Amino acid sequence: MMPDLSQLETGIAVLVSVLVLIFLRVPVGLALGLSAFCGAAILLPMPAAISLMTRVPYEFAASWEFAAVPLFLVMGSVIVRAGMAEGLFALAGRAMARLPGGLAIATNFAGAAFGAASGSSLATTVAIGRMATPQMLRAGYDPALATAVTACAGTLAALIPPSIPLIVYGILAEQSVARLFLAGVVPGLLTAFAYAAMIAIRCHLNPSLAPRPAAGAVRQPTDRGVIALPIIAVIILGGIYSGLFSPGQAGAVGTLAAILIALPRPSFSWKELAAAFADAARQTASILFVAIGAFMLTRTMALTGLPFALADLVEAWSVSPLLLILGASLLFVLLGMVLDPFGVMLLSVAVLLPVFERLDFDLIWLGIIIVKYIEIGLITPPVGLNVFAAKSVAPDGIGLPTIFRGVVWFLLAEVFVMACLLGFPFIVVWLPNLVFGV
Amino acid sequence: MLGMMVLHIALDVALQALFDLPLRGTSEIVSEIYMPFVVFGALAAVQKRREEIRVDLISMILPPALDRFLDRLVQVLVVVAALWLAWHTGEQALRAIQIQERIELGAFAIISWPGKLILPIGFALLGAAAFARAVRP
Repeated sequence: MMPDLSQLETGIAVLVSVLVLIFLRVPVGLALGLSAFCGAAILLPMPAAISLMTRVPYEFAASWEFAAVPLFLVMGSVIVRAGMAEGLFALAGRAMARLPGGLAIATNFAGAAFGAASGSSLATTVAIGRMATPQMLRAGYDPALATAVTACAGTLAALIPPSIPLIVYGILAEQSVARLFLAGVVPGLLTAFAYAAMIAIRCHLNPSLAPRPAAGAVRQPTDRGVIALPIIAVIILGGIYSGLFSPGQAGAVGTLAAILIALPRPSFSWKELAAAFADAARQTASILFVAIGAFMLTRTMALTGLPFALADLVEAWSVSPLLLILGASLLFVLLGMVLDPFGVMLLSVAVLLPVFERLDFDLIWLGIIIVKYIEIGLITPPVGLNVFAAKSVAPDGIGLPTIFRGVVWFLLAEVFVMACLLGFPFIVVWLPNLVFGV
Repeated sequence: MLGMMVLHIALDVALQALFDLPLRGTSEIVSEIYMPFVVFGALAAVQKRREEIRVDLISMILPPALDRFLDRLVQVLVVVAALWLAWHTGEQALRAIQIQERIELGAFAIISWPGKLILPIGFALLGAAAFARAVRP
């Protein structure tokens, strides 16, 4: 016999079970799906619960919207494997050479530019860091700065379109992915400039962090091919703006363009291309597995009525919107410290979205805020996946504490950025509203 | 499959832009055929390469032996869940084959059951990959 629980108790039990299973290292998708199924089985007759849940994988995967995810992942993978990140970094290094902390700022902007072609934070950190970290260390940069900047520059990729987290959010929250992409542009650039300003000020005040290059230092030849990357980004964004492409079509066109640019390069081959496709298929499957679990959870949550009860509660207490968003911020940061980014986002969409919807929050703005928080979660201890990625490409002997020490300064810049985005929502919404109308 | 998907969509965009002649049924073929093959076809490879999304917090605390035992236990759980899903999605696929499920698009139709058949196969392979991880060190 199933225990006799009320709907709300079931909902809370489901959430607790999700967290416990994730903590026990059950794959996040399975933790979400299993808990959701048990919840549904308590509330519904068994055959109905089985039918409700086992239809989700196909319905979710067989979707035109979701097709944008593998397409943008292939594009990013092709660009990484063609070695274009190195070229971007060399180009940025030349442009920023005169600034204090020039190489670190170059890493930061190379991360932003690379993010315009890749939608994945981890891939960006690894691709940029592999080249930039050793070069900064050779130039005598502080190891904490040299590694932290690669970890943090990677987070820019999730905001600057194309962005995998924004696609997934858009599907689950039933918001336009094209609008979300445009909404991410300004906050992404704002973050990049806040990082750059922080680096420049720190290095200006304490020149030992980043020694100036000696005059007449050897210049690396620039790789002109990388100019193509911003061009691809402009084609993608322009196509989405003008309504010529849907995000999925933009992904296919961008991928084809990336392949055409990559194939003539000596570092790229048909074998690399096949590997890029295989990478993207596996990444898609692992993201989709989590998303399917989350979709099941959303259905169970709707059955339990928990999100609506929460919304009622918030309304009854007449919580001010500011207090609500600050409370949610605290929750996102705390969850982001221990959970993986997709877990945080999908859990919050499943449970909290109805609350925000009821209180008339702009869900496009909310998506950007949530993605910002999960990106911050990628660089905070104890589980900072981007920091782990930065460590994996740093020389031996630089430990996680060193990198986290460098990251603290970037988190200060993030406090400034978040205050802007929370206090002035128009920073986020003006571009999509300008292009698509309100 | 993913490569074909890229070419197919790009061709559709190009024909639409140049000659105003989009390939009919592109979005249906992508969603009903390519996507299930890409996603469920790759599930087992993800599990085999230990690339599944999970949170490794507990292994910092547990003694190594207990940690390995827990990992095996989790893999067994994945096997059970994968086989259960394979069974139920398999039933749905058989039903789709029996009725020769198709999506009508005016002049022609797309046979949509192959996209459903890949689910039980993908889940069964996922179960096998997890089983291999459970029994091997």
